[in-house]
Amino acid sequence: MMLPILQTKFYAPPPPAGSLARPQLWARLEEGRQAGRRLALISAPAGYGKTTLVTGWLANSAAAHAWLSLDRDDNDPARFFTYLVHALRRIDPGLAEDLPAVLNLPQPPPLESLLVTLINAAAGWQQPTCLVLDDYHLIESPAVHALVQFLLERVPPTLQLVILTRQDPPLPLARLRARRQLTELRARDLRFNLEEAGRLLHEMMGLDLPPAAVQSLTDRTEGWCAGLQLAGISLQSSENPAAFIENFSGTHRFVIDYLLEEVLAGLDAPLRDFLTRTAVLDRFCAELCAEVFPEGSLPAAETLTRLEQANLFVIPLDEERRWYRYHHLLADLLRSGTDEETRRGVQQQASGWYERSGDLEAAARCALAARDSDHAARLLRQVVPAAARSGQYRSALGWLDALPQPVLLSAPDLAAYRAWFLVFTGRMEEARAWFELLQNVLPPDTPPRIQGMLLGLQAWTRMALGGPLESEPLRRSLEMVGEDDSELRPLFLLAYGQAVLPAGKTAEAEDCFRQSYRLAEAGQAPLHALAARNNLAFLLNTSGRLDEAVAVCEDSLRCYSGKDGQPSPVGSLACIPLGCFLLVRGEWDAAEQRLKQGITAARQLGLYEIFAHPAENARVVLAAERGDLPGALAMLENLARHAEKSGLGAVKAAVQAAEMELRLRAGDLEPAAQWAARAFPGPLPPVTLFNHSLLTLARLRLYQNRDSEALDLFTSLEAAAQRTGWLTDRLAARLGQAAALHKLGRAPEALQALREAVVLAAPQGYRQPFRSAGPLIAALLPRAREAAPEFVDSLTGAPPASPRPAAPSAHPALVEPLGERELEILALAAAGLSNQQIAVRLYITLGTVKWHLNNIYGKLGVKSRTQAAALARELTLID
Amino acid sequence: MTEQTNHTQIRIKGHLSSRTARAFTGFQVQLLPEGDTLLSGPVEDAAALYGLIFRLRDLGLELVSLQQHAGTDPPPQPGEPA
Repeated sequence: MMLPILQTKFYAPPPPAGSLARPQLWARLEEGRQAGRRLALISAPAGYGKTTLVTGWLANSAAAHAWLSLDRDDNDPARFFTYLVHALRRIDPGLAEDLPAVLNLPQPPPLESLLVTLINAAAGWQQPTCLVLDDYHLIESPAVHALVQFLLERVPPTLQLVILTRQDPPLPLARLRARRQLTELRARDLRFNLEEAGRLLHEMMGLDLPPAAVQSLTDRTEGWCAGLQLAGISLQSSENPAAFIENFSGTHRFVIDYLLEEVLAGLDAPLRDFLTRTAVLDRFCAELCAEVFPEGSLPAAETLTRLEQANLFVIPLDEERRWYRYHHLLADLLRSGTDEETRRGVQQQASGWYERSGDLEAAARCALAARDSDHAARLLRQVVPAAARSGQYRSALGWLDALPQPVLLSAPDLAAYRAWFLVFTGRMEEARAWFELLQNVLPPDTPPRIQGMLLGLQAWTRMALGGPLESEPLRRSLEMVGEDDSELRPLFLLAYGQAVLPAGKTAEAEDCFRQSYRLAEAGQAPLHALAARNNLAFLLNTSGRLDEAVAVCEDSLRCYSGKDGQPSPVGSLACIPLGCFLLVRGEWDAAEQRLKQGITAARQLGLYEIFAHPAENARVVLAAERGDLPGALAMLENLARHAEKSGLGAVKAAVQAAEMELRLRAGDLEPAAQWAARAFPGPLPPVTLFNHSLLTLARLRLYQNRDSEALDLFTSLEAAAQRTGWLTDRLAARLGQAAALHKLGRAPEALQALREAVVLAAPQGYRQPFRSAGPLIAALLPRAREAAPEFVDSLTGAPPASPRPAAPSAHPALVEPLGERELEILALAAAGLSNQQIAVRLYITLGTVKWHLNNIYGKLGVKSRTQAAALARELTLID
Repeated sequence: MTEQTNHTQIRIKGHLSSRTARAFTGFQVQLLPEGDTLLSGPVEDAAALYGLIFRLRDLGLELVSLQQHAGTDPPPQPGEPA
């Protein structure tokens, strides 16, 4: 079950019978809208006719509108956002179809990024539209204000925001005013002037009053709409209007107080009682009224109709006139006169009625309002899991925290859900304290599912607080959570798979990921399923099954496509691993396109931080491969900022290692050396697990010509990779070994290592590991050609071999022939490489390059590298 | 910002009925001859004060002035608010 959407919140109450047309104010609102102002703010105290004014304007406006009546629960950003989308779907029914999947995530995405999707959709609407937020003063959550401000800053010209409130919202009103982006109506604008008061009392309420009477009513009420209307109602049944007006004008009594008393006094006792009791409720229908007013002789349905017709401040909440509420001001005044005991009694009865009619959420709210904690707890046990599935963690946390702690602790499932909400709203420290408290108080007969849930969440919390992801608690939690628990099991299976993977338990992790996505699919949790599918695909790639990895992604794209056959945003997340794999195969253009598609989907869904990192990393590699090193570095800088913000330690480390790889390739050794000194101070501990930072360190040693150290490190990494059997790690380590061995003069062993790598990589086309292994491997690669000729050719780009001319060292034209190293350097210099680049390419120092070049100039009898290059070509020393 | 219980006086336009005054339990209600109502009582802290102001807003009451004195006791003279 998901939490039901209250349709009554989208209903713009029709202007009540007998409400006054206010064409001048309507015109101001309409002109402001046509002028493209972003916001119409109607800010005035209760009873000034804000809602009536706006519904009247919209009924006469050229714009369409989406209406949302806010309540206190909309302080939960997820709930507010959900209702916002549903309100806008009245305009655009296909809006944000993936929304439920996203809000169903354990860590709700930043809603701002989801708002962008709405804003983009709204920008394409043909008809201008007003989005009305009524009762905005009930919003106090900074998160919701921030959402509204974000929306306000980006609303397309087709959309105007209309805010009705009793107090100015904390939005940048002064700036909007200064930029003429605000239409503003305040109390002074909404007050009825003499002419309007006259029309209201005479034309709308059918009274016949002398001008002086209208004048004194207007003065006394100061044009306050609620006051004038209440006065009119009293006058309609008054035997002596003149006396009424005289008394009213002569008293100091608070206007509404006085008039309400008058109106109530004019009603018979049962009706008065009916009003008092039903006013306790936020909304009501005839059956609910009958429930809380059973002893009365009044038939509820007729009474409601009568109240509406008498304009006694009941406001219909739907077309069918089934649900009503009282005007907020009157309801508050009526409630303040009702004693606590009565209010609680009414709420209790209402709770029972809602429960019988199946609206458990409303039943739970009423039970909480009645302070009937045991009943509330019983209801919440059913409502809270639904709130969790709807992503409304903050609302649900609010309900749980409204329970006295002993009651909460005596319901272990509620206590566990409180932990869930704390964890997934990022309140980790509070979660930790809550776990500690629970450990000592949870009864031994706590259901296994709840124990398992707590264990799993605790493991998660420890990881979020900086620890490793431990597999043991997750394993035990999986034992306790039911086999078919499609809510908890997919999450814990995924986490467990990730936890055992670094230890090389590939088969077990694979099995977990597969189970996780199948169960999530059975439980209709597409995002959890996609997360597990992507994890599976990455695992397959790592373990050497690239073809299967690609197939898993392609299957995801097929399974999660919309009616038009295009993958849905959730399905498009599969493009992230797919793009990475295409890069591995060396299909750069296709990779680029998929990576972009995946990143766009992650952004659309607000899941950039969680999903996009592998794709961004792959784009960096791709840019570097295409020779755009500054571009690649700039992208990395961006990623580093993101990682810093999201506080994900693992991502931060990966970004740093990637940057060092790029620096090394650019021949910029100094930053890499500094990084290494920071990341690995002191002697290295024995290598037990393959680790990318260590791989980068080994490559640095190679560039630093600390070849033996490099070889040792690559060899340890190779052993670690052997233990897990992961192909991508083995390739990286083996190729590193080959380079180090070659530099150490152990050419046959180097070639052997290189051949081995080629044999491993060729069948499924793992090309990128060879490119990442550095220039020396690229230079050596042709020598391993016979191991897999096509594969090697595809990497070297060599045309089917026409062998180079034999070593030209014995060229007769030279007195002293050039050595092999000198020829190598000369060729690179002739190709336009700088000394620094040559040094990097050949793993030698800058000084060595210069020394070689001087010798070359001497042997050739030239003074510059241009002359050297020209002569060398002439002598066909180089190509 | 109020950190401790303060005696608070709130002046509201018009005379409140006893029904509406019930919304302010714990407060002494005084109908002033000039036609305003003076609510006096202890307010525990800033949060309680804002709660009170929002209650005024929701009942459509017009706030004329608000004064606080340290301590729970009312000042010797209710006096005119500043």
